[in-house]
Amino acid sequence: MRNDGEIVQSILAGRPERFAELVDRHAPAVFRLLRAAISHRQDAEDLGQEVFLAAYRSLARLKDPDRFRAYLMRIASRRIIDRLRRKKRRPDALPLEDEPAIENSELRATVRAVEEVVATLPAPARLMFALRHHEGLSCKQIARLLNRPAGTIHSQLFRTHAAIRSALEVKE
Amino acid sequence: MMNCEKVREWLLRDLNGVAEPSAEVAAHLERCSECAAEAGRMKGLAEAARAALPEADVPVGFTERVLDAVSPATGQRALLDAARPRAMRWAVAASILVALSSAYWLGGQSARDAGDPHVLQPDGRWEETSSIPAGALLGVAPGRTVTFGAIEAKALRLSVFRNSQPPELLAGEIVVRSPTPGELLTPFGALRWNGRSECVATLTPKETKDMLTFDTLRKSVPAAMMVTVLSGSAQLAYADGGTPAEGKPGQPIRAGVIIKSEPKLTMRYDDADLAEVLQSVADSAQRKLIFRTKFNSRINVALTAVRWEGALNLLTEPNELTWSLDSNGAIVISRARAAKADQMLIDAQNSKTALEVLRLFYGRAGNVLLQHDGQKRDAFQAVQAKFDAEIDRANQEKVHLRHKYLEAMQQLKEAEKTLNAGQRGNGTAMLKARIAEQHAEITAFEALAADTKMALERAKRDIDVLRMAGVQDEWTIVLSTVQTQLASITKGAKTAYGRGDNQEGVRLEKEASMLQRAAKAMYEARDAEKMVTQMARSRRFGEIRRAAEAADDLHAKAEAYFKDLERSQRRK
Repeated sequence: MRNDGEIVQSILAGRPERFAELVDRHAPAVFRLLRAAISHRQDAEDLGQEVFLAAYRSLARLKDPDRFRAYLMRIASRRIIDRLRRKKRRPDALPLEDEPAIENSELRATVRAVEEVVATLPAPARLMFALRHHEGLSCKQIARLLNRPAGTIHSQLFRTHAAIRSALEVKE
Repeated sequence: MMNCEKVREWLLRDLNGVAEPSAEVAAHLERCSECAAEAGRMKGLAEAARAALPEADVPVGFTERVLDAVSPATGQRALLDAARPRAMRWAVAASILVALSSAYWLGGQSARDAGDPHVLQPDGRWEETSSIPAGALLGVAPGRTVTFGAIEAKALRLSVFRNSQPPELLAGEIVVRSPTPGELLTPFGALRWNGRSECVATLTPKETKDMLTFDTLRKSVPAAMMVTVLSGSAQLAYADGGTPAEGKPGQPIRAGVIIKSEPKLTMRYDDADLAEVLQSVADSAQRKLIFRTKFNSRINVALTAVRWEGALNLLTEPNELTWSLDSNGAIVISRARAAKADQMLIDAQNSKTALEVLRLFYGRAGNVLLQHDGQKRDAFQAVQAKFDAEIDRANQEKVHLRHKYLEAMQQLKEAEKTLNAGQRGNGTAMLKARIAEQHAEITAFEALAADTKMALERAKRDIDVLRMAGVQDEWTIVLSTVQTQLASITKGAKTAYGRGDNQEGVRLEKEASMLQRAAKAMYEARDAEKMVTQMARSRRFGEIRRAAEAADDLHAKAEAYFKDLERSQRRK
């Protein structure tokens, strides 16, 4: 499989259709992030499209094409933050999803507890949580992505995790 | 050496093991079975965290839609032109949307008689139709059954409006998709589908005072359901043989038809002033635009059939700007300033919590100093006087800002009253009202900043006082007193037994035991407070507050034991 940098170079060399490979490769990650922060499917889809279009338009300015994924997540995070700022007065509810198919009943209970806590988080905190657990980013990386001090990310994640931990203790 | 507390903190922060544990943490986990067990639990928690987040749900055909927008036919130019929204694929009625550039509402009685829905034409005429184009909103009375004869649309959006002039959005949006042919019951009636889409109904009620439910709406609010065909078109038929009107068939209806368009913009500029381009985007969408940031950039841009929000995104993002929307317009602000504003809000929240916690210590340390240490008392009082002056100044500033804010809000109210009094559509008055609102918001923000500053000053000062007092001083004094007392009682008991007064010996022994119990509680309270003091240097305010409360409980327990002791001594 070709790496992102090579694909970007070939797009810039006149083969825009190869952008499909990048979309196929990275759309799941982008949508995981969007769906973690935005409840409305249609809005998430529109935003997803905007993210890829913005990335496409800026390909020529990309300093390190191999880091296309990080660049894409940065655009997605910024778009999410912007959208949340715009919709401040209308809080996003967590999406109503089907019950996840988890056979282990203990894990299912834990997942339910985590969901309950995550549902109460403000959307930016949910985004931080998703970046950490879906994308596996470190606090420093999230801080750079969201343009926030690393300490803020640290303390926010700590609070979220502690809240989850306490929720589980109460359940036990 | 790492202690359990630090390791637990690290585990909670890291949770899913992104960071490699330091050698110290790893060593601690090897020798401490409790922390190792906790690490195991955290691993389970991380798994649950991943499972709890929604799965990637890339819409079918997403890649094709993105590629459609990035048309290869236009070659490298597409790098600039690539912003065509996905709805273009189904934009059968796109031309209608562009033509109809604003929203219309017919409050009802004269709009139409019972029958097929009418669609308002750009020239103001009503035309009977059974086909609803993309973007049209159809009024349907609550509780009526509506069947869609044929739906070419991928999704419909349902919203609920109060029948007022202009219509007020009460709740939205249920996006309905159907996976199999059949009938889908909604709180408003049944929707019949031809099976071309999925079946998920999500409800995001608009924030209202009472968070109306659809059930409440259906029973009590004279509301109309609005069906927006997001793309394509829909043929309508009425299963109950009636009409979408509220009331009986044949009678004049209350709900009308809204035709709402999202104008799509096509524009090309070379070496143009960014502010002017942004303004022209806002003008095209009939929105007001307010710049809160000065900038002076020139850009080349080519956009094809982009929604105005998308256009603003594409124009602001590369220029380190962002924008936010209120009900009538958009405010353009620099990204750095927006981030700073967000940060200030977080700081304000944190400072308030910090203040609560530090006040606990401040009061306690102050009291001890006033009672026991003359030299420190003077220093304490000097700091207190300086602090009080600062607080006074900050308060005055805050009151002044609050006053300005109220004034601005009053101006805004008046401007809006003028508008409502019959000058609807007067652009200048609306703009003035919006500017007044912006002033009010800025002033409110400044007031918040002053509040934050004050809270931070207080916290800083409280920390100084704490350092000066040293919480240990309080405990050294109290605990040494207790130790002396305990030694004296124990000695008294021994003497009593020595002289054969067993009754007195037993009583004093009991007293000593009560004092020991109280002293133990005091030690526990001291340890708890020490922990809080250590934590006070971190910024984990929620944790600090909980620890401080726990310390307070222990303190109260110790005090209760001392009171028991006093009562016992009084009885003697």
